[in-house]
Amino acid sequence: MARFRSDRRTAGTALLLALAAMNPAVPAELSGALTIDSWSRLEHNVQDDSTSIDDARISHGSDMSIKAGRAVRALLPGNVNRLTLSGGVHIDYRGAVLDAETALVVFRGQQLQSARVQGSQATFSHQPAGSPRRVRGQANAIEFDGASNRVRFSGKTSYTDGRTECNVEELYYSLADGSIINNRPQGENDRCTVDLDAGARVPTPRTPDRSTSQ
Amino acid sequence: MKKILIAVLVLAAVAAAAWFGVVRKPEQARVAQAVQEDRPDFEAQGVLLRQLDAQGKLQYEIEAERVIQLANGDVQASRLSFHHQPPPGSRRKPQRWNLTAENGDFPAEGGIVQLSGNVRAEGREDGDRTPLVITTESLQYDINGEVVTVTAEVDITDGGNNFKGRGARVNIATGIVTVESGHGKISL
Repeated sequence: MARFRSDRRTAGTALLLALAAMNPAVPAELSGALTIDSWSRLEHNVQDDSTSIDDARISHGSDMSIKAGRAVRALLPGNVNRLTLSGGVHIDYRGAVLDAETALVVFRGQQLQSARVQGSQATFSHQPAGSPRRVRGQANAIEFDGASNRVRFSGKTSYTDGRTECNVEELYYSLADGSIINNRPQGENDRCTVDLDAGARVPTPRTPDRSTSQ
Repeated sequence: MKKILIAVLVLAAVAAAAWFGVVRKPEQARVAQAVQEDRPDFEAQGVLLRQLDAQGKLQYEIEAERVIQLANGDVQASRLSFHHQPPPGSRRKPQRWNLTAENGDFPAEGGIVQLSGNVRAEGREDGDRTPLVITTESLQYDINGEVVTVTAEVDITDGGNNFKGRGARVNIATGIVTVESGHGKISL
């Protein structure tokens, strides 16, 4: 539901296109050593080279860390490493945090290809570089695409960066510059609200009065 | 007459002592029997021993610096290599397992082989370029059950995978390796 207040403006998702960054997202360097740093128990199948790991803590270079109750790793043709994660999945990638019940993370060799988390409302948060606000989002599914360095929210998506609030079906978020984009035609229930005052400066504290100061 | 009486008394005392030792102390008799079973039947240096099953089929081979076969048929080997070829299953290729250790206990009836001291086990399927390698201090190899069990610290390598833990189980028939209390990094 759109809100109307004197210090706020309602905007459809079309407005968000204008808020989107003009610069194309620059894919970050997503290579690094892919290792399981700690674990409690594993089952390894010699026949197909698959491994099921309990209480896994996985890292990818210094950029990405993953925690999961269970990680099932499968080696696919083309040197593709597929990790199917479940049980309190927590992914931390350069300040972006994904939490969900299940996740699918795909690497080609040591290169991160994609990460998709799912669950009854997977959650996302990110602190864009140079921004005082932390971006938070929820959706039925959240996907990180390594090639475009974007995050796609789909299914009952809610998003806020402290200034803009959206309740839409689908939304893209750029990890490179913190911009959001909605490529879909605006749905009946899609709503975005921009609070223009949220970025107002806090007044500088005045100098204490000498007569009242202690 | 007096001498004859003394001799009879001595013989009676010896007979009573013998009866007391054998009939009234059966546990002592059992210990004596067990000692007999543990007694080395033969001892050999630098040997190749082939154990056959009831059908005369090769069960396993042991090459050892020293082998002792006990009276009950059990074999104790030192500084040994143990070779076993599990029968191929309907859904798997033939395998060959080569194990080396400082000491090994091999029951006469086959069953579970106990290895200890610098144990290294290599299992390889026909056509495999890299074997599954297990290194540990103590290991049980179940010939009939086709299971390798480790309760000590263990290091397992399968191609590019390396797993360290305390306790492991390898099902030779299914190719499933389970490692408990894992530690150390795993490179994927």
